Amino acid sequence: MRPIATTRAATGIATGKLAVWWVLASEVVIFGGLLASYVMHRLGHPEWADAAVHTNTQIGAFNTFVLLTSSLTAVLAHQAAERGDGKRAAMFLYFTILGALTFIGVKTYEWWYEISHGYTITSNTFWAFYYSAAGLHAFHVIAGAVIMAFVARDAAKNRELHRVELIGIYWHFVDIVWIFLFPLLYIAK
Amino acid sequence: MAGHSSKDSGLFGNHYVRIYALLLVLLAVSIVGPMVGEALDKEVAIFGVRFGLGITVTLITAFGIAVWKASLVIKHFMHLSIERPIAKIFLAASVLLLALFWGGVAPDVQLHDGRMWENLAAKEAVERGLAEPEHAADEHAADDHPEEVAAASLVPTHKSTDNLLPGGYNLAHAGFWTVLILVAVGTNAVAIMLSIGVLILVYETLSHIPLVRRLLEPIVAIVMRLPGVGRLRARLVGAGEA
Repeated sequence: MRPIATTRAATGIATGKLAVWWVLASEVVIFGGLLASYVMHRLGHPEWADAAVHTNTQIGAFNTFVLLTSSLTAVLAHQAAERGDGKRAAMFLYFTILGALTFIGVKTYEWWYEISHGYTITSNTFWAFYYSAAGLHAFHVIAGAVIMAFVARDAAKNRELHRVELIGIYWHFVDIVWIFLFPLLYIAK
Repeated sequence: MAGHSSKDSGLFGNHYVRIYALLLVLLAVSIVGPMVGEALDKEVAIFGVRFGLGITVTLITAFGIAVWKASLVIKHFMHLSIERPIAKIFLAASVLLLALFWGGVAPDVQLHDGRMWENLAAKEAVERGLAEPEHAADEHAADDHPEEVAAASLVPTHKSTDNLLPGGYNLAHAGFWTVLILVAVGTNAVAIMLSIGVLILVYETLSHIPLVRRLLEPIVAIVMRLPGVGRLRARLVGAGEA
């Protein structure tokens, strides 16, 4: 028996997917508000450039590469699910999880390096924004990876394949947030 | 994209890899561009307005390309362009709310003075930070005495009782309050929209229970007969999939 979220829809859009878009609409305000506050303060505080110069552009760029790659594997998982190939979908989802783990590993090293050099969340407002925005994003990466592991486990047994697309949409949003965080925190020195 | 699988099948595979390759090229440009921009210190004039060439190159390559990359992911990976209108409406409402928030708050946060006010604490923080870059951490040392900051940070530079608006600002802040009201209205509009969404989800979830369906169906039938509801539903949902 298929779950009701995939088969019934008064809105013309599967209810599960509607719920994902709904979550993303609220995420737009959460991340957007944080980033808008950062940009407004950054424009009013030229001295933040002295703090921003210490962020590591190479590490930020590498993590951008990792997330873009994981977005590709997520959409390839969706493609496989559309074709009813649950095993292949699960394989691509596991690759996506590997991307998430790589991202978090690199982020852990980066934060360890910065904190050990005295740049902590209380150093100044720039670093407060830096750790808040990157931390909130990292939390979303971890949450996405955990959910993806459950979806992949079911997909490997050809069960609940529609969820591959749902977690994929969420994952691409996480990627988009980082696409904006990267220039804001690492490029604009 | 259950409803679009056959339409998209020709695009799958190489199409996604090509988009991925383009994203990587754009990533490279967004890294190299600002480096080039940093090396340029010329000015260019566009329609008589002078811009620093370096900063222009940096803005375009860092942030312009970020927008381009995001739009590629939204269109080709999330498939929003072929999604039902209701998903786009949800997202557009959030973006609009965000824009209103920015418009309402930016005049007081980005700027440190106006026609009749001055944010002394912010100005001092900037001066302190620029004078002692490595000690910018102290920029909020005054936070130990928040009441002093509150008293000193926003100082009216001209005491006029004419055209005062709440908060001690002058008429120049009428725009601020207008936008703030729009934000309030927008927040309520989103809240109403989300409430309707919750009702739809509850209906979708519970209506398979025979007893609940018997109770709800007459109510839904009445709502659907209301003027314009059918047309609105057709517009949001489109024809076909249900």
